[in-house]
Amino acid sequence: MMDKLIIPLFAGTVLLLLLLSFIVYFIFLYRKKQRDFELERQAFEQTVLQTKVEIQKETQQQIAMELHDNLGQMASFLKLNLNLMTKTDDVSELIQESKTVSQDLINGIKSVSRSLNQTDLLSEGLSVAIRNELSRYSQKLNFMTECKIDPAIESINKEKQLLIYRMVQEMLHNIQQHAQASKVMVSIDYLTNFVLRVTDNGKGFEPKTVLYGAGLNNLKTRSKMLNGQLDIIPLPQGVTFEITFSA
Amino acid sequence: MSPRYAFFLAFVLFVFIYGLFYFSRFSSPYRWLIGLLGATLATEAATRILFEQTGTTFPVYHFFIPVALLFNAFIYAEIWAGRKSLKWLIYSITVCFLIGTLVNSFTLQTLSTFPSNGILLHCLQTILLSLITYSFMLRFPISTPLRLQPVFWFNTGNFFFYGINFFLFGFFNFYYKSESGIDWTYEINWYSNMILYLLYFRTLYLEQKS
Repeated sequence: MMDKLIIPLFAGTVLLLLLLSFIVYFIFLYRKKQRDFELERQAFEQTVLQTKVEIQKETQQQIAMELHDNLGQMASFLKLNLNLMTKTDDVSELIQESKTVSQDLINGIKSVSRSLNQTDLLSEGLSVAIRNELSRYSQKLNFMTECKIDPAIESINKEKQLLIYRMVQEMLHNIQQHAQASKVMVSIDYLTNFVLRVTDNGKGFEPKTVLYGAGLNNLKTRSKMLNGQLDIIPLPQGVTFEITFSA
Repeated sequence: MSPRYAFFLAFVLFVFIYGLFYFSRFSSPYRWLIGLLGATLATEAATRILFEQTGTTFPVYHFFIPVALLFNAFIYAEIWAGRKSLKWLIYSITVCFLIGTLVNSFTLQTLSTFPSNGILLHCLQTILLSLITYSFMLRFPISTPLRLQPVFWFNTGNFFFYGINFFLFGFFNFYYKSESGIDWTYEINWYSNMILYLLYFRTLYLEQKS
């Protein structure tokens, strides 16, 4: 009987040890994965925070420019008109002009006030925010635009939306700085994958030879944060920035 | 009925009642787990009745195994409800094992025989599903400590219990084919059962708290 018992006893003990070792090994592995996950999460949160600060700074710069270039000019024009009125007899045309400019000035001030009050940039949705930004750049730089955005992107979580918005802003900034483009196209598809494409018809560049500045590096980092990748595709005229991550 | 068996039944009943009491607080996989506990209790009751009347308990297990296979599949599929491909994998594995068990019950080990092959298949299904779950837990970790995750305790209980049972009904049965009544296998079975239901209780307790 003892002889018969030795083999199953031995096999049973080995099995028990194997099961327990497996569970202990799993716990060890899981804790390691959890630490990595925490680090990634912290890095993501930090990037989101940094993005918020950058967007805030960008908004402040926009407001400063709007005050200086637009509203300031209107106020100067009004002052000029008032000066002219003291020297001219027929002031009716000047009054009419001044009325129109005053109204534009009031509208401009309201718009700046709205920008300052806007606590949530994405309150009207990511799609609207991107369209507004594109239209702002288009007015400033006088280029044609085309925009095609899948409405499904509104289902992406807000933190990721913020990163996407900032990436679009950075790409448009890049176009403004270097591309000399007359047309910019923004498209976002969101089916099995999220694909953001920003294409311009400017002078273009060769991605392999260009030195990555802060803008391109930020784009790369943010793409990685979204577990995606950034591709720069040179075209016969211009370039396409493509950011892809799984939906 | 031995006091030890009565104690085991009382404990399973306690876990089942506890589960029913907090049923509304549980997420879908753990509601299925309570269903499995109910099926286990019903099976144990049926074995007692059948034993009194016919002197054998074997037919009950032929019915319990397919039910347990299905409950296992529902529980694991609901744990990974967000991952469609994994759900398909779980159901496909289960269908294969279900066919195997039915073939065994109709051909190799009929109702008058103890379905040790069916139990082996049941063990194998659970071990496979628990290994898949471990692997997906590693792929998608969450920040909650492992000791506070219901899925970890549920999965570990299954892995441990069915790992031991696979050995008992596989290797051991094969080795002792010609003999009967090896007492200490029942001992091991009792202890591993107690550990399993203790871990199920921990699972439900944590789920209820969360």
